[in-house]
Amino acid sequence: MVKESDLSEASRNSLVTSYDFEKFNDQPWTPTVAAKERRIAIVSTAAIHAPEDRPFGYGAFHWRSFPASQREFWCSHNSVNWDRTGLYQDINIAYPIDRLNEACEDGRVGSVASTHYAFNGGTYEVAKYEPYAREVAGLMKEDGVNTVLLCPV
Amino acid sequence: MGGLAHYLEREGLTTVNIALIHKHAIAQPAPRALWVPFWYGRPFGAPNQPAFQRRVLDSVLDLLDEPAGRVLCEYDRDAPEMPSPEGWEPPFDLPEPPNADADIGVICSAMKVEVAAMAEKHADVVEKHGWTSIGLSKLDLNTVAELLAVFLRGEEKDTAIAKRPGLALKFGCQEIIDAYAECVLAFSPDAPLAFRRWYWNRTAAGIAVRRLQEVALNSTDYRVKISAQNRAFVPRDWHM
Repeated sequence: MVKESDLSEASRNSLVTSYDFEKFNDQPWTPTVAAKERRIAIVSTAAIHAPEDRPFGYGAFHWRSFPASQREFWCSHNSVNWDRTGLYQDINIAYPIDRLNEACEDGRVGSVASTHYAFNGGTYEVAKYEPYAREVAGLMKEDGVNTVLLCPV
Repeated sequence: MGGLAHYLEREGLTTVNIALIHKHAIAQPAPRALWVPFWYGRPFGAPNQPAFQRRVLDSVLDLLDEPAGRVLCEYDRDAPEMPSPEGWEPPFDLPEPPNADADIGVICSAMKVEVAAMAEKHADVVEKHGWTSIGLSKLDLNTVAELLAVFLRGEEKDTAIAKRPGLALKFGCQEIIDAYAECVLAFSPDAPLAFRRWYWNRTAAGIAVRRLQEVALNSTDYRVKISAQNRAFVPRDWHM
C-alpha cells in the first residue's frame, strides 16, 4: 500500500530498471475533436474482467472487453504491489465509468463507448502489447470511439 | 501505459493517460498524461468519493485541450486522508497467530484453523452483500488453505488438489487476503492501511504466505517458483 512518495529512491529506480521500455522512433499525436464529438472508451490495466471471463495468465498481453453496464469484476493482475481494497469498495477508483457517464451528462464529453477494455499491466515487455492494442483500436473504431482514457493501477 | 497510448495513437485514436509512477511516465512517455500522487491501485484517489474522483477525471480530460505534445502534468492535490492504523483492532476475534519463524507444521495448522473461521465470516458477508470479488482459483477457501499448506511443506509434486496447482495457489493466496479484506472492510471501510498491517503481521494466513515467499523459491512447480522470484505473493512493502 504505497504511493510514490513513500518509496526510497532505490525502490523508485527499481520500478524503471525492471521494465523493458520501448524506444520509439515516432511520436504519434492524434488531434482531438470538439468535446461534444468525443466518444470515449476506458482502457484499464488492472486486469479486471467479468467473473465469467477467462483470467489473465502470468505474462498475458491480450485484452478483455466488457459492456459499459458491467459493474462486477474480478481482478487477475499479476502484481501484489498495489492496493486492491479500493477496487473492491468502488470500481470507479480505477475504472471511472460512473464518473465518465456523469461527465457525459454534463456535456464535458459527447458520449461514452458501449464497450471498454482491460489489459494486464503487470508485465514488463511493452512491445508485446502492440498487436493487441491494434486489435482493440479496430474494435473501438467500429464503436465510433475517437478518444481513449487510459487508467493504470 | 505510455506504450499502449503510443500504439493507440498510431491507430488514429486520441489518448489521455493517468500516471501513477512518475519515472514510468518519463521513461515511456504518453502523448497526454496526468501524474497523480495517490496510492498504487487508486488512480482516482479514493473509493466512494465521487466528487474527488470527478475532479481528477476533469483534470485529465483538460489535457485534451492541449494543442501539441507531449504533455505531462502533475495533479497537485492528495487524496482524502485515511485514518491512522495505530490502535486499530479487527472487528472480530481470532486466535493469536504463530511466530513468523515457527515450524512450518505449526504455521500450517494455525493458518488452516484461522482460514476456516474467516471462511464462515466471509460467507456471511457475501450473503449480506450478494457478491464477492473472489473465485478465480475455483477452490473454496478451506481448500486453498490446504493447497497453501501442501506448498509450504514442499509436497506440491504429489498434490491432486487442483489441475494446475501453481496457478490455483497464485490466485488462492490473493483470494485469502481478499476474503479477509472483504470481511474487515464490511465493518471498517476506512481501514485499508490498518487491515494491511494486521493481515501481514498478525494473521496466521499472512505469516504463512510470507513463509511461502521464501519456500516457493525452491518449488518444483515452475509457475510458483517464477511467482516467488518475481515477489508475486507478498508485497514489497508488506511491513509498512
